[in-house]
Amino acid sequence: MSQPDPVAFVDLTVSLRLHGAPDDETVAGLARAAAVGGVGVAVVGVEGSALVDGPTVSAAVGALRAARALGVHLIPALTPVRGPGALADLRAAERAWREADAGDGGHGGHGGDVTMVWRLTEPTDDALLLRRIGDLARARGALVVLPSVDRSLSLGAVAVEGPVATRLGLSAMPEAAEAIGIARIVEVARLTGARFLVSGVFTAAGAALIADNAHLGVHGVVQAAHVLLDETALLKMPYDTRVLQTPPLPTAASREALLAAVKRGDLMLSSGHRHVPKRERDLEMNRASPGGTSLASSRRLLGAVLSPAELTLAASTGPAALLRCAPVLTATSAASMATVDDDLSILVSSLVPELPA
Amino acid sequence: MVDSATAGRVLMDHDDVRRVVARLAHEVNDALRAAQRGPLGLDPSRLAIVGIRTGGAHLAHRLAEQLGIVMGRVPEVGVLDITLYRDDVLSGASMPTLKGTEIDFDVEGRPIVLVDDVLFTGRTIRAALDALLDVGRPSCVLLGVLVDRGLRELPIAASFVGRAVETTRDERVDVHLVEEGAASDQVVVRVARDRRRP
Amino acid sequence: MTRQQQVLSMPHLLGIEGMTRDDAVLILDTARSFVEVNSRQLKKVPALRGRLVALLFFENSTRTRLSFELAAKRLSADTLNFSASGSSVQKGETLSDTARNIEAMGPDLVVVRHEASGAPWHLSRVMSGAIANAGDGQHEHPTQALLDAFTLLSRWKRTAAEGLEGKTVCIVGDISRSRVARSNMLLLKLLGARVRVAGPATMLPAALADVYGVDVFDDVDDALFSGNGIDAVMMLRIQKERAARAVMGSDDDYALGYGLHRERFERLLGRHDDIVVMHPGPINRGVEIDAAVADSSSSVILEQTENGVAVRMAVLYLLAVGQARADVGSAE
Repeated sequence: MSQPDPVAFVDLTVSLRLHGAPDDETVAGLARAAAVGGVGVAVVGVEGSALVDGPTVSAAVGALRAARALGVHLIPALTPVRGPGALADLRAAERAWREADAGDGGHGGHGGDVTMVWRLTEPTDDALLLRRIGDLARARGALVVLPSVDRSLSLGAVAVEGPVATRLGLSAMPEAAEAIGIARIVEVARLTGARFLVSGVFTAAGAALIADNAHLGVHGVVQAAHVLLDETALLKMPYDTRVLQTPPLPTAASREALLAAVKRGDLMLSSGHRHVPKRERDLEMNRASPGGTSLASSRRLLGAVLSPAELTLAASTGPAALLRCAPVLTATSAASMATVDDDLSILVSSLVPELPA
Repeated sequence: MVDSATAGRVLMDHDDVRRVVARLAHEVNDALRAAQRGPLGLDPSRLAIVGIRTGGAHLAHRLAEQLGIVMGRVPEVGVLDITLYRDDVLSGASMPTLKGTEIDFDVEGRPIVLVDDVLFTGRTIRAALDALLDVGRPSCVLLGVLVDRGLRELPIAASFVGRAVETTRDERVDVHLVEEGAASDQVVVRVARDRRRP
Repeated sequence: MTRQQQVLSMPHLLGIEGMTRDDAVLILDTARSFVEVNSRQLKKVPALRGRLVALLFFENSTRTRLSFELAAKRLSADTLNFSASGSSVQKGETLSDTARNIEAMGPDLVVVRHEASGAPWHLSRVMSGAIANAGDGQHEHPTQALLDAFTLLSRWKRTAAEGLEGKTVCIVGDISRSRVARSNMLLLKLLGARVRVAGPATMLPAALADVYGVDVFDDVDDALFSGNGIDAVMMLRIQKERAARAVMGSDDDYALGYGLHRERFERLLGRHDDIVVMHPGPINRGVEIDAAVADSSSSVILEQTENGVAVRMAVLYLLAVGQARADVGSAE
């Protein structure tokens, strides 16, 4: 990268996998990918780590602070356990976060105004739990990121119901699973006044629901793959796990609607970055892990379907406004990439609370 | 496969083929009568003819018809498909279509005359013997061929030979029969480029 | 005289999808020769001698596995058996790992049954042998469809080239979860038949008519009797656990609504005295079909099983021929 781009991407859904295994991603690797892709700020959910108790949060803050030296601001998304225990986890996390961050201007050092982000990784059909989380988020000023689909309709599905899934014999969910899920989120937003970010919108109906309810604080983000590909990719590359996405690739009609919504500014864009090690790719469709486009390549790919102005709104200024942060790529990032020492790879794991030197 | 070869020399024409088949029928009949009195104790009335697809099959029917005239009784005719028994069954460069064996009678203890159009290296006959013996256990197997072109690679000999001719390796012997759509029966020797083993 | 195709147009048998009509005719014609082999006392030919056939059955299946094993042995092939239970799969070994381990033994042909749709595709990327799909998830079960078609052609005394034009076949049951139904819909259409499918609405997947070109009914009597009626009916096995999932009612509800019980069968017989009744097996007697119906002279269920071996011999033989041809081609 010769000239750092002054307007950086703000990527709302990035997943970092840390299980202590050698082929999982490191924070440094993630930061490097971000810099290559022109991403200045990324909301990072750490998979497999709850990031909720004191020691874990401290370690996280420290590691993510170190990542700033690499030129990328990583905002951690606090990820509670699934189910009713989520509430207790979030309370504990939020408290631990404030304590750990107090000496550094708040929230990993970005400045006290940057939104705290909570992320539910799995869909829920428990409206009462959603309401309670909403109430807490409203009180604490957090942004709740959650999947769009209803859990009971989407369980086990790897494709959208329709001719493609029928031909390939794949487990499928109806498009209605998203409409039902988002309708639930909309009503909880209305009840609680909390801000919700629906991640991975993949249907036309879902896009319309979000467009209609932005005034309630409901926002939506589409992953790059879902404006670039539709489900016919499954037919072109049958049973190839690289086309496996969560949520599933959209129908052709939905893809057009999603792209239109992004161009209008009704939906934002993210990479959906998710590193999938080969051992999880090399499985049958119903067991393989879904991936996403990477931080490094999303911008370039999206440039093929969106104008620079549309891309800036959807992937930079829009998300930046939501997070209340500045969409800036620090000028030193290119230089710091050159001096990155591989030993600086830092693993944050709920099992390893202490920071390596 | 087969190249557009030279016209070649006609070894046998329509009348030749007819005469030869009639003569072979007499030979078969004589041989069986002699054998009946001999150590094998064959029963000529149990004779059956088995032709090897595809040329041998048509000739088998013709031979049976002629034997009907000679013996007063038309022997049963079966057809043998040796595709699955060829020693080059999977690796052969040419792949005859599998049409199947049709032998509707019991071969147990019966004298069988195996019929083929051209006897060459003997590998086809070797495969045919395996195929036939998998169907059942005849009392004996005698071989009748329209043309013996020599160049044997296995110890196989025909008891009844229509016409013997010396050929070279780069020649091929084609038998054209009216049952397969030829205008008239003909046996032609041509120079060939392919290395198909009959 | 048309030059008949001698080799399949594809190196694997992954499904009926992608198969040409010539391919289907070649397999069915070849199967006829193997019926003759199977009628002899010595049911063996040396065609696949020296070849290794690996049977990878990750899903429990005695019938299909035995059928394939018998087919391989009658072709004089060596067989290698792998079944999921009590093996390393239970210790968490992936399909790819298992495939690589078996690949080390150099099988020429691999027969695979797996509960995940697309597993044979997966294997074809890891293994070098020719793959035959013995059933993958809800996707396809091509040899079942082939033996079903073979049985119908035999019953109606038609050659494969003549096909099934002018005939109407009705498939009844849980179409959405049935790979047998999917393969059959594709093959029956390929051979020129008209196809009707019937089942409770919950068992009819989306876009059935569009994807397969079949007539869809959620009332089985409509399917069997409307218009000019049907020539053959294929009953699919109802999985017992369906009732627990409330996709259909109890077994009795299903039997009454959709089963080929005595009354329905007799009505069918009255309309077409030469109706053909099929079932891929094993039968749930009294649920999708009455015992008496299954044992009647209209039923070809036993022939289906017998023909299965010949059809699978044809498939293994043709895959081996195709493989050898490809080797010869690449060597030149």
